[in-house]
Amino acid sequence: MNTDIMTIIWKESKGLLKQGKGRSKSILVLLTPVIMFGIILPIQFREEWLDMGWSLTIALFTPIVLIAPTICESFAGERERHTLETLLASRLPDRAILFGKMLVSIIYGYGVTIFLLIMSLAIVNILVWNGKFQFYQTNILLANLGLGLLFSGLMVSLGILISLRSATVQSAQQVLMMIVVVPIFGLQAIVFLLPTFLPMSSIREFLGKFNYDQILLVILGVLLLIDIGFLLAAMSRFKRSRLILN
Amino acid sequence: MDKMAIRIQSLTRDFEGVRALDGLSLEVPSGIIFGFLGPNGAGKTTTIRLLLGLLEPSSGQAEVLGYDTRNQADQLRPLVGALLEHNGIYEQMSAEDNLEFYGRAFLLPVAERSRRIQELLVEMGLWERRKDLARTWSRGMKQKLALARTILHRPRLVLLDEPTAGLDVQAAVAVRESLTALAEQEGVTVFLTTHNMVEAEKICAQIAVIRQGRLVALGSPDELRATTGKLQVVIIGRGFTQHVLNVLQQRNEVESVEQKDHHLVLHMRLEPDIPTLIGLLAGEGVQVTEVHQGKANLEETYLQLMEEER
Repeated sequence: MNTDIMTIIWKESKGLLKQGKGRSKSILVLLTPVIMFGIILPIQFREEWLDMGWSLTIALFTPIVLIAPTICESFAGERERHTLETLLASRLPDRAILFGKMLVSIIYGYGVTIFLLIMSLAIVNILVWNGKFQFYQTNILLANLGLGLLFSGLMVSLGILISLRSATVQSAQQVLMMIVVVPIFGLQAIVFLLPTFLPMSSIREFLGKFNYDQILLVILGVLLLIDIGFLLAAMSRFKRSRLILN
Repeated sequence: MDKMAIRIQSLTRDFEGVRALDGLSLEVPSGIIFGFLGPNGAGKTTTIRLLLGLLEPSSGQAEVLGYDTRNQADQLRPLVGALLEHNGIYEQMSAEDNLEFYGRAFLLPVAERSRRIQELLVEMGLWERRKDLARTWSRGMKQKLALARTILHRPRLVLLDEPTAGLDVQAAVAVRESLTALAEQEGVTVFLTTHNMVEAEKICAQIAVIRQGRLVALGSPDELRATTGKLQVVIIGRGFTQHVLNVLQQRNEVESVEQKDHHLVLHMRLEPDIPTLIGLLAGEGVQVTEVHQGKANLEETYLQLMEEER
């Protein structure tokens, strides 16, 4: 099984930056979070990047930006390019095909997330160097690592579910982005609109009652459950005959 | 080894109310090239998918290399190579990487994998361009690469869905030669669908003809021609007037007469008496230079089968 998963990872990694819209566009997609979260935002926030939780934007947005295009390629891309049936006719087990495709996207999304955490840390230290190396606050670092992994898992399992059902990569990407972007805009709308209904002092007082480490743990726990749920759904949906008929 | 590579019993498959395969039963002996013919939509591709366990039958069963396709497909697939409707080549990968991937997928050891990849690419005349991305290749080259991928792991059975469709004559001949060598020298069973009757007649030891998911004929090309193909007499010469055609048409043993340039084709109802026919034609002033007698070819037999089923 492990050998088979590695075979799929080998194959997927060969085409990771060459799929769909071509190499240059794939590299552009990769460079966007690198420039934004690795350079611009750390320069803007300096020490606050490490202390105040702004760096959490890396864990929240990098998996979305990087994984969405690649995971939609996984099955919809194979179907669109007429390579899926031949792959399914091989001896590779269902689970190896599924997990191999999922793992390669998680390694890619989470790997870049960690790389950006290190890169932005270096940028901040270069900017504010006072003879002492500055590091992320422990809870912020753990939040970044946990959220990055679980968001990557969420994007991958959700993307696989959508990709399994989609006829084309484009339609899979549209559905996935809609599902991911709508809640983000919804959250933003609440943040912007809340002060018009409630005075800021009441909001601060309300938010001050919480222990943020506990909130983070709850969020991580909920994300983990959602990830497991989507993974189980993807595993039960992955049936050779269903894929052929789709 | 089992004498039969494939045993199909009353295999039926429905798709949302449409019956694609309707109680198909047949057996394919091991080590031969078996042709599976039929018009578009007859159920050929569905049969191949069922044989690979990619689809489940609605009823009936199929046994391939001794394995039930319904619940033993995982054990079966390592022994089978499949070249399906689309060639399945990864265009963004090189030819070498395409074969490397499937070599790994079929668990070929590293040394054997590279030896086999080189052997096949050289044999197919693709070795020099092995590093090029497959998308830069011609259709014929991709099809040859797909065939190389299909037999890479030395399968005991290969299932081919129209392997020479869209190929130029040279490429098609090369593919046919490879298939013949595969069956004759390595004892591999080849199950292929094709619309090319000349191809089927040339390389297939046995042929099944299906229409609307049902078997309409089964046998060697000679047997099919003998059971369904009608006798023909082709007369080459000069002086074929309408009167001559009418005289021939009135004879009992002649079913129909066709004129093609300096040829007359007589489709016979009964065994022809050639000397009498020649004498008759000479009496009408026809200069006969050659006479050929034989059965209709496979294409005509096939068309007749389709006509009868209508």
